[in-house]
Amino acid sequence: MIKNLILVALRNFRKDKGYSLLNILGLTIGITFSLLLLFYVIDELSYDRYHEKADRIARIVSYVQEPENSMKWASTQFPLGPTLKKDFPEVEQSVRIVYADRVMYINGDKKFYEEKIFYADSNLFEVFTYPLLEGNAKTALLAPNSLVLTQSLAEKYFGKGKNVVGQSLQNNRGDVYQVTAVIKDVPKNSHIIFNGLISISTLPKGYSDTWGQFNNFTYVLLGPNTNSSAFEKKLLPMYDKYMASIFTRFNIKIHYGVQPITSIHMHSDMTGEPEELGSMSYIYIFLSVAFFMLIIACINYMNLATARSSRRAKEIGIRKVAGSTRPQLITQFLIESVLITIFSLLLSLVAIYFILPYFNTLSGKFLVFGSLINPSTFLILLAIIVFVGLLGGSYPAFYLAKFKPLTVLKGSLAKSSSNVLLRKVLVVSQFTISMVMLICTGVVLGQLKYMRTKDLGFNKDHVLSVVTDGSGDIRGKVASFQNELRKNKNILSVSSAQTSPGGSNLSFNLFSVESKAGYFDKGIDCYGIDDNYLRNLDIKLTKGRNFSGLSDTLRSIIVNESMVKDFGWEEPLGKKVKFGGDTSGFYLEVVGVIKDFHVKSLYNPIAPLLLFYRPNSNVIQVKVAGGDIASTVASMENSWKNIFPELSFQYTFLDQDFNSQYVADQKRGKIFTSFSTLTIIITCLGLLGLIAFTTEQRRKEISIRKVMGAGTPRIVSLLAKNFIMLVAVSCLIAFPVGYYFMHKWLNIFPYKEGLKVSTFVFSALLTLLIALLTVSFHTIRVALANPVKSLRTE
Amino acid sequence: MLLNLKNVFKWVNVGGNRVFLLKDIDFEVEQGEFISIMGPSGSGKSTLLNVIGMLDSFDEGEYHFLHESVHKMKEKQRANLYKQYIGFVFQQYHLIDELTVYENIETPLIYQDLKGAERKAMVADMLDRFNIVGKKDLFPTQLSGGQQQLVGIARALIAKPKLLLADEPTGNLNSKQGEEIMGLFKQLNNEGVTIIQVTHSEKNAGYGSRIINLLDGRIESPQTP
Repeated sequence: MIKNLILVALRNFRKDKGYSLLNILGLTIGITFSLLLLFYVIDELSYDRYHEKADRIARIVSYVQEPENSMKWASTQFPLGPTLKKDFPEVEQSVRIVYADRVMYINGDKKFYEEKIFYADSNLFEVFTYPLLEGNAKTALLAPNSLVLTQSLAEKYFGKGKNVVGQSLQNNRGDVYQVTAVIKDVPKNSHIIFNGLISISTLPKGYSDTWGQFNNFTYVLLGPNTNSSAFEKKLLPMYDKYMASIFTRFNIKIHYGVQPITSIHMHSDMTGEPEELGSMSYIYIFLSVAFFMLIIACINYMNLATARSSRRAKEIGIRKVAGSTRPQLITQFLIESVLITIFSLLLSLVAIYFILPYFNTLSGKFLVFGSLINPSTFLILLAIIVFVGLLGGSYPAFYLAKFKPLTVLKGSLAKSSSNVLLRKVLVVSQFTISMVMLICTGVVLGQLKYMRTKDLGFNKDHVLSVVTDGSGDIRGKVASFQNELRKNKNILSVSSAQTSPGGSNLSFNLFSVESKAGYFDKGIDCYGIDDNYLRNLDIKLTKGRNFSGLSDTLRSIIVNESMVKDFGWEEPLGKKVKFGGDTSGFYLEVVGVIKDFHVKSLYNPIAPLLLFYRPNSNVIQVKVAGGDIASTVASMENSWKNIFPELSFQYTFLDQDFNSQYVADQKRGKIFTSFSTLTIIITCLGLLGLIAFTTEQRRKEISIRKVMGAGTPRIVSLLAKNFIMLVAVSCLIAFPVGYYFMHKWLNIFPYKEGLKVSTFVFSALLTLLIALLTVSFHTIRVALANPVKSLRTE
Repeated sequence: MLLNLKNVFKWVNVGGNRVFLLKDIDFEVEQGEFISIMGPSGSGKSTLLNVIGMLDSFDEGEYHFLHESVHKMKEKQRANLYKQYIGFVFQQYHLIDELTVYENIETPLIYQDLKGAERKAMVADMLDRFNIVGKKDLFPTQLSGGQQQLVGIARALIAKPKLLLADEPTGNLNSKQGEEIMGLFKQLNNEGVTIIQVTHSEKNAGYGSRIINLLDGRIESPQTP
């Protein structure tokens, strides 16, 4: 029997090619892209799970509580790791990972700046799972100046397929490292990714031997069955034992958090993470988009199958007369829908194979088709077949199997009005989903554009940022480089500072600030600039003066308006600020106030800012004239080579630099936009099919109306009226839903555009337009047809 | 006795008026009979046939088929009953367009849960008997009307029914094809199949052993040809 049913199903596909194509196309698009989203989600959730001991590894993080401020840092103090192992029996191992400076590594003529090199404890390989290609895991990080390279870095310096262990690599500070091991590249789904590791014993003796500096990541391997939150409580007394002596006088409390390593990527909210974090809210968003895509595709199938039921009616009647029971008929139609689903699924896999590279570019993922083929994927595919096949097939199956054979065989099926209501409900839900997606897309894109284009309080256009190596005494060289640049008439102005807006070298220090109620301790963002910096970036001075010369180096500071407001200064000029914990009586004095500008991304509200005078620092801002920027950059490079012959010339544009902070959101925004577009396309496909059949059903009515003298526009509007109503109903549902979710989403942004009425109106109009276009496509064709023809066949 | 109907009424309500489709039908059929139901359009011929075939229900009265009370049965039991004992032939043939001749004939057997090999033998027999072996892989649309009806009859007979119901089996055929079909019916009847047919034509009715005349849902005086 099954064979017979499959055969009929296949012949039915063949016979009604347009219909089958529409169905398969809709389902294929739906399945393809919901699968891609699922793969994305799975990848996001897979972070750090590849470690064999992943369930027992945790990262220790610091919660720092000031009287008015609290901070969450991913980093901890250097002595913490060994102390944990000593004090707590449940800590089997502890590993510290410390950033190494960005320096140039040299092997013969191969010279590159390397980032993501870390110092690490020698037991790293006992805790984490990083397969070694060469070398001995036990000893690789023991001796000072040992260097472990990843495969790609080893190939970069030593070429492919060479034995690298035993070779040495030098950096531009003259340090020589011995390569002791080569590991496979760190998987992309890791919260910390490194290209190389240096033995921690390389660090100078007494390095950071204090509980007052937070400069490294601390990981622990907990004993089996250790509860991380219980362990977290046990760490509370460490403050009194080790840190109180340093921090009590500043009124600062510190406690530690224990993050299971597998939860870092999705759940951590620490500052100073080594890599970009994921976001649970996007996981939910993507899952719902994937789910809705499937639902919409299912609805298409249901709508088309029931609308088309008249064509199948005769067959059902005959089968019933021949003795088929309802369950048998239901089975038959479910088999049909499952077959269509399987077919679409296979097509989807082919499609994914080709789309994956584009999806990777869009999402910033590194998904590989081969690695997607695994048991859990098969489970997902199976689930999709069951879900789509059965859900999509269920209604048509039950509906069709209900037919009374006699009515069907008599050919009087047109009266079946019961499913018209259901079809309307289904179409309304499709419109609603599409509209909600349109609203969300509009709001997300609007917010992203707002962040890119908002006035940041400084000018970031045509400004290049050049960073030199910050170590050693480079002031003289920076000064001559700047002078060199100023000679170029295409370079409008040059300044230097310790960081550019959006840069990473912003310091955060404890200051004692004068206020009405005496001195007040507070952590404040600060960095050094030169006297050209404010002018170069168009940052407005509202009170007092700019830095004017070397005498300002000692005591003068410039603060922003937020700082003035925060401390309630009526006359900011002359206010005194001391370094936190400095009892020598030395103080700094405010000489100028600047308008607030965004030194950090728009995710952070503008905070108090304190600027020192530090001329000739290592970050140089160059404002260039528009036009031939390439040749200006070329001449900059020339000057650079003369002054810094040992350093390679690298520059970024300040606006790009600043916007790169939103890359994660931009990426997700793009994914979201493309996928909601696709959802709308699937809806259109379904609508196209549905309307084709409903107009066909009303062909007789249309013909009679035409004979009675109705013109084409009247007929089109007659048919379109229904759909306008449906869009209106959808608006009523979609608007509040869209408002609710987008209001919630926007709340995470301190700076936002807010919800605009136009977004909602636009989504409704677009949906209406799409609906009307689809409707008119068919109805005009029917309305133009010769009425006698269709009446004759009745 | 194969079946009998006792005081069967069937009606529909149209705007508050009750319109009778069948009125007080008393009707018995013995095994081996060949009955023709005749009457003008709208007299209830097809309705009666459908009630006998259990495809349609009635509102009042009793119906016994092989001593079982059809009027007391649930739909599923009725379906089981007609699946086993009744074959249908339609004026419009009602073949499934997506199935070949062979598969169309096979369909009733599938729903009787017969084994593949068994089905194959039975269908082969039937094809042989109707001389359509050469056409077994064709689809209905590739056949003439007469051939399609032949397939329809073959399908109705495949499950070896006790009763064959035919609603104007020759209505869509030309006279030569019609004659062939009626000849076939006569032959089947001679082999023991009970047949009830609805027809407009006196000539076709002449093949049967008994004629029932319907007028406005009521049986007129019975007559023998």
